[in-house]
Amino acid sequence: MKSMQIRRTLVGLCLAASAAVFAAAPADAAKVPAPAMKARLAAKVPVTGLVRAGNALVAVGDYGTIVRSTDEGKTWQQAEVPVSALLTAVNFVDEMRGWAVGHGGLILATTDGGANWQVQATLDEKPVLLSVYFADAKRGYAVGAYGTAFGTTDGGREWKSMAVGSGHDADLHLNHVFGTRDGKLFIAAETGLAFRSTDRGASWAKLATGVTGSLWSGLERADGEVVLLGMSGRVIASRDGGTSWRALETGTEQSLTSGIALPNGGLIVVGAGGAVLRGDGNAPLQLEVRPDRQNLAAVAAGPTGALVVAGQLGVERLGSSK
Amino acid sequence: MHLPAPGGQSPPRRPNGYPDMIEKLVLAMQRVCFRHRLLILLALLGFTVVMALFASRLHMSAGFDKQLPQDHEYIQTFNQYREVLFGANRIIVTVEAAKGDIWNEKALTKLYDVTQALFFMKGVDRRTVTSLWTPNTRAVQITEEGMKAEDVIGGDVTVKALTPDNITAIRERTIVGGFIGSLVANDSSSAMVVAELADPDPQTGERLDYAEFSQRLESEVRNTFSDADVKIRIIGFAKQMGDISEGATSVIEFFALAFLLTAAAVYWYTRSWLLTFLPLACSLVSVVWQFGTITLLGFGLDPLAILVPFLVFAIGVSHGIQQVNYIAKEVINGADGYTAASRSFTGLLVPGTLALITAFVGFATLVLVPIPMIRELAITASVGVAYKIVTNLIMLPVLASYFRFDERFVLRATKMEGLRNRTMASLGVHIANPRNAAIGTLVCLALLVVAVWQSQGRHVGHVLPGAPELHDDSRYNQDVEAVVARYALGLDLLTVVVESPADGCYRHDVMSHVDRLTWYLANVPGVLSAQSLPSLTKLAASGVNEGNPKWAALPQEELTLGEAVRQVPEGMRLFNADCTLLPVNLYLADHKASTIKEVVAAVKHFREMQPFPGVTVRLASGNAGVQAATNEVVEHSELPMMLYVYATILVLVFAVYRDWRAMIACCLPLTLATFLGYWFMKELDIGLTVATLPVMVLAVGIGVDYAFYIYNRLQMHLAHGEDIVTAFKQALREIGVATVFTAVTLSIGVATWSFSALKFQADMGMLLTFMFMVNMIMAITLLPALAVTIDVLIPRRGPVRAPLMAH
Repeated sequence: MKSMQIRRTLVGLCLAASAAVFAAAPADAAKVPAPAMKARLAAKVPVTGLVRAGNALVAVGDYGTIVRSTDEGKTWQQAEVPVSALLTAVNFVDEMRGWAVGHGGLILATTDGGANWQVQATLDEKPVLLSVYFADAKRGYAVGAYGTAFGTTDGGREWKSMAVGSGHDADLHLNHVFGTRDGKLFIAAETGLAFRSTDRGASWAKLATGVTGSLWSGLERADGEVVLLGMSGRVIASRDGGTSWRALETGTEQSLTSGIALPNGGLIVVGAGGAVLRGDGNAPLQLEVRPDRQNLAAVAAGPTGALVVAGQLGVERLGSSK
Repeated sequence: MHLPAPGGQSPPRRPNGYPDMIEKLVLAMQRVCFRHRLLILLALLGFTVVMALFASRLHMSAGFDKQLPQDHEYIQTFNQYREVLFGANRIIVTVEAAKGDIWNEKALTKLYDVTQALFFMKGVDRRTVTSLWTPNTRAVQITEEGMKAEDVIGGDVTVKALTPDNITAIRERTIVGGFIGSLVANDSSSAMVVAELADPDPQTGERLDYAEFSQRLESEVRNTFSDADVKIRIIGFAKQMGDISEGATSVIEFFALAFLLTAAAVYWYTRSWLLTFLPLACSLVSVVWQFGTITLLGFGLDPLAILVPFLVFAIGVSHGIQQVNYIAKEVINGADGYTAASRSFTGLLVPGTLALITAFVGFATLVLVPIPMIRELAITASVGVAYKIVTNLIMLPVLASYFRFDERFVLRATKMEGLRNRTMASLGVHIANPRNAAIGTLVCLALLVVAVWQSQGRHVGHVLPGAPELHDDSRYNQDVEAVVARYALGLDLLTVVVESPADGCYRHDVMSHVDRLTWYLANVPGVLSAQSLPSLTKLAASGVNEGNPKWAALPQEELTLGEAVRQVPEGMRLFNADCTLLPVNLYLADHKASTIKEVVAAVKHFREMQPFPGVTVRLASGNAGVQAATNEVVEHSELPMMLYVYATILVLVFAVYRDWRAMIACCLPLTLATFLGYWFMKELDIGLTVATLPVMVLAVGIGVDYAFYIYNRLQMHLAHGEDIVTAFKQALREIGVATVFTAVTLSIGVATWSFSALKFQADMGMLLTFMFMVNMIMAITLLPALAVTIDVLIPRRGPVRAPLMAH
């Protein structure tokens, strides 16, 4: 009872504090991006991206909310973020340095493991950015709606436009950009398109994925196999760096949003309708549908293997991935 | 003129310091009334007949709007938008499987039947009827080809064609469509039919009669479809109102019961049918006048205000008993009926008027509460009390002057008298003993401190879940509880009304502002969920982008934004036709005043700190919004009300007794009783509401009666030179029994209300019973103890002024 009281008071203080931030903002708040509101329910905000950064887990989502956990997802702290738009992706090169992107061409950066974020760039024409990937602290890529693709070679100070698709493909949404350990870059895109670059993003080749449904995400497994996933419960894999693809059995029609590679060579993929697919080692994927059927958008494993999923209802710790 | 005091001793006449004017007035009135007694009685009879004619036209009128503070900011918002906002006219019927779930032929068939019944029911807007069986229930799936919507129960599936296979398919589509928690219970144990009411009727323009509609729901839905396997539950505002009106009719029975109990008690007390008849008849006459007046004023009898005629009757009986007590004592001492009655008249006119004026002022101050219901109650109550001065202080003794009392009555009464006097006298000895009085005073002061401390944090507003007017175990509230437990559905809704420039829903900046407001409020403790057009538009935006969660943002571009907005169903009432209204619906954990207050404060904070040109954020609609307004008004009204009543008492006491001791002796017991009442409210979870605010004010007004009657006798004996202890013993002997008896009689009558089907009536009954008893106990214990203690501590210097009847 007492602690409840205290918590309420604290929340009241937090609300008051955030209100003070509002108060400091100019009256015409619509024109200037407002900082993310410090929210009691920050960890319950719709989350779109979730990654591990060293010993921490960092999740990004709506209202410019970024939350961070240093205890494998048991408790979450809200980070200081100067914007309040929907953030869509987050990526770290080490435990301190990370980037996040969002709607309105926003590129945010952190140098303290995700506790404080700065606006690094707001891209011209404010495109909807959907994914960010940094191969190292200097070289990074951001992709998004209608063929938007940018690259940086100076840690994000300057971003240059890249041409990924051509012709009809040039206008499609580029959903996810990621790299493999051997230095290749991949982009998963709309209508079954995927691209590969072997020259650090200078040129991109269209891949013959053999599918027509949109691909939303991709990853490299422990054994180097590249996996793409997307709508209609589709998971495809390539053992030759993206040249030829085979479909994996998933047993679901739900759109799959994101996945992680397990150290044992396995794979965990999450998706809409509470779908969680898991295959350890080279075993086939097993489908488990979460009873609340909430849409999941991201999954991550903590430093000791605790599994955390995120989506419409915020972040949630599932248990151990081992 | 020499009148012996009741009780035998005939004190010598002594000059008194009373204002001559009052003294002359009373004597003049006595002369006029008793000389023209027949004429006066005939005139009163004529008036009664006329009023009875009007009274016969009195009707019950349960008004929801009357309970709302109409001028309050929130209520003005509520009134302005009540037709267009969500939920006001919604009715929910659930079909609940007694065992297992609803995924079987039988339960689904029942659901179909209920859907049909509601569809064809008069008063229901057919277009809005929604259940698994209606074609507006569609499961939308996003596929590579685009959005695919299919009926949850397709047109090809009929009740007769239900098979385990297609039931499985229906179940799957229900889950996919997201109807678990909305149309089907979380645990599938029940399914829902939702409909909106056509009120007013689009064809005739007539308002829907909720009481009648509620009865049809019972006969055409609940009774028709519930059986051993299936339970029907019905909730919604119309049903709630219907059940309240139904409960209100039981009031007549309580009135009859209270009348019989009172009659029996008065007979036990007086042992004379004549003396029983007098107070009851005179009190009834004033109720008839009051009903006549209510009709003439154009009011109806409201379930909330039905307390008032009853109270007026009770007050009448209370004063009537003082009169018959006086008369009986005179008769025992050998006076004839006429003399006894005229002495009673003179003796009680001042304290009686004093008491009634206090009650009158108490009631009248309630007019200041800006809630029509309470104002109406204040007017009818003060009119009723004013009538009492005529019926009980004039008509009763004048009528009594025609009565003759035989020897046997005198003998019987004398015997009773002796026994009662002995009891009271011994009580008096103990209380008035200076040492005991000092102890008693200290104990009571300590009790006052405890009561003030304990009554802190009293609830304001309604505390328990469900419809606050009804008991928690009423069928309606059981239905509410069952539905809330099974569905992801909050029934405590606070709607923040956001007014925007025209087409505000197509403007990114306006929508973003509302979106921020929604998120801000979703984070307030006590808010379970927050829903607004932007929050659903974002989901729709994701939907048009293949369901990708990374697209769940408000599109920057006007056309794209418009496309997403159009995906949000109109039935959710989250925008109006020209997009000037973008409400934020907040579902709260409960409707406790503390919860609502926090939310209201958050809204005010946001609107102050984040102004947005052209956008107005207004509080508040929804049941919780309406309650917020009522709570604010009731809470802010209570203290001033009480202060007015106490001020009146102090002024009147001072005017009559010219003695500060009297002011303390009369008011301190009342204050203690009031705080004990607050403590009682807190302990019994009775909140301060539209129903209980008047009770506390009335209780003070009525409670002071006992103090007046007792202090009056005490003062008289003191004026005769008796010492305070003797004076009090005498006073208690003379009217102690009458006072105790009055309080007990009133309490018995009011206590019957505790069994009312309406919770607020039961609360009022319990509270009033408690207040009657406590005020009585205070008047016969703390009042004399205080008087004695003050006298001992600060001895009087001059002679005591005698009250008027000491002549």
